[in-house]
Amino acid sequence: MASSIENNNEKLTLKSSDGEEFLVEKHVALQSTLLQNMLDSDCSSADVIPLPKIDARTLALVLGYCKKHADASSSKQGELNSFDSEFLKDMDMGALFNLVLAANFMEIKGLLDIAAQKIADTIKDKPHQEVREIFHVENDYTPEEEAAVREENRWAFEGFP
Amino acid sequence: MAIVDEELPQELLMEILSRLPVKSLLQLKSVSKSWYVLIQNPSFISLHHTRARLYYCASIYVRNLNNNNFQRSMYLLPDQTSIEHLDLSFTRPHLDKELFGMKSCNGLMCLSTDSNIVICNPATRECRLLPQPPYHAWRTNYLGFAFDSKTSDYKVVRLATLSETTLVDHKIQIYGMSADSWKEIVATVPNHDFTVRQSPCKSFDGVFYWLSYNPSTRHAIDALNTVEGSFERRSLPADVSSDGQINLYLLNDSLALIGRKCHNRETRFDVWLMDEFGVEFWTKKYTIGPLLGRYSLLGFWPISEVLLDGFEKGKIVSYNHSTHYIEEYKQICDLPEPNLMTQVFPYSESLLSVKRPVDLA
Repeated sequence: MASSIENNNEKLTLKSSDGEEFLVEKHVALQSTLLQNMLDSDCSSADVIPLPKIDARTLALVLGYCKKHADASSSKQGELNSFDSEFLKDMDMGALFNLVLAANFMEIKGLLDIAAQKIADTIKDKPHQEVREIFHVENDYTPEEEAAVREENRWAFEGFP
Repeated sequence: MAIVDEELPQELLMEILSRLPVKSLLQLKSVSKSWYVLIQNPSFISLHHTRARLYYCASIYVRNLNNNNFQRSMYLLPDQTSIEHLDLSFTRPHLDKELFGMKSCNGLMCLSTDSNIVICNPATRECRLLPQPPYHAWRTNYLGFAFDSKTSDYKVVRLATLSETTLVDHKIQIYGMSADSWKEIVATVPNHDFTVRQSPCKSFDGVFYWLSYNPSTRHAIDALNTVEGSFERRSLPADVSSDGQINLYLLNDSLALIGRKCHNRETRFDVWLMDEFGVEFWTKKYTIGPLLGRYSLLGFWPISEVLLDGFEKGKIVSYNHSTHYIEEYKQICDLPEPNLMTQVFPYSESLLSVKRPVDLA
């Protein structure tokens, strides 16, 4: 067992892709399965843990989420739910995608769930051209092919932009 | 300008898209060819179904005021205050008569009239009319629909009495969705003069179960092993006594038998779980209630919840038997005639196609 996880008040240092360092309490870091596995596998807390894919702005958001969830007791589910919806409320698409990528990399399931759900809810009623721009997807259909695909489920497009 | 610098990894795209309703995904198929392929991908379909919202689906007989016949309608209840009519009109070309049977499994439904059987997906509005079974039935005693994990296939089981005069002419046929054909099962059914109650069906390793009723032997559990072609009738637990309402439900992949008792304006439900491998076939009896008032059981939920028909009120009520919390749902129909609430079952949307492969090409 690593000495680093014997002391509950211990802190570890995370380093964002743009070089900013964050001092994090260990119980907060444990919200991330990736960090938990690193600590379990004898990684010393003296080391700085680099997170090369996550910028400082995103990492600050991620750690804010982890702190809230680590500190709240399990009986306060209602409070956490309102924190979650407030947390994502005015976030733009770019920030949401960064959160999804970070939550996936750091293996924070709860955060991945709410951020992915938020993106899904946002694109639900958007015109396809906007969805393509958001996801960086090229329309490789010919106009005839696209019309044929729409025709397969014409009923689903009633009232759709 | 694109929000993401490059295309998202497929895994994360699936994370996001799997949280959308089926109707949105049918629209999004026209975003690009790769999205079209992804939305039809079996692992995406299965991920999506596990995340799809769980509804209570209520199946109700309502008297049609034009011809005075009862017709079956289905409603989704997302919460206590809202009701959505589940539109099954896309099945009408094949099901123009009164619906005889309805079974639901993994977002698909098997519906039948006295002449036709279809498997449909209400979320995608796809419908497959099954080929006519090899025997014309004077009476269909049982029609089951389940996913058979042994063969990874959806199956319809039909138990038919061939003629009114010779009740012994009894045939069991199974339809497999992948082969798209019926197969006869040679099994001896011990007592033919019985009816099958509304009961869910689940195929446990190719064995289908249902609750049957015979005037002399009363209720029994029938087990049809479609792999070995054997049929077995099992008696109910010795101490099951009820006021007549006995139901079979699925609970966390087990069969649960529930008997109702009403006494002194109180209702309680005794629950037995089936243990296929135990010495005693039925185990773990416990009791739900007592609840003040008379209730019928409509459905039985994994999360400590039962759905009840508030007797004399025609209302759906959910009762959590861990917390004893009762919630009333909005009244589904407001018709002068009494509505017959037949059952409430769990329903989650699925993208699974029921079209024949040849129709897809």
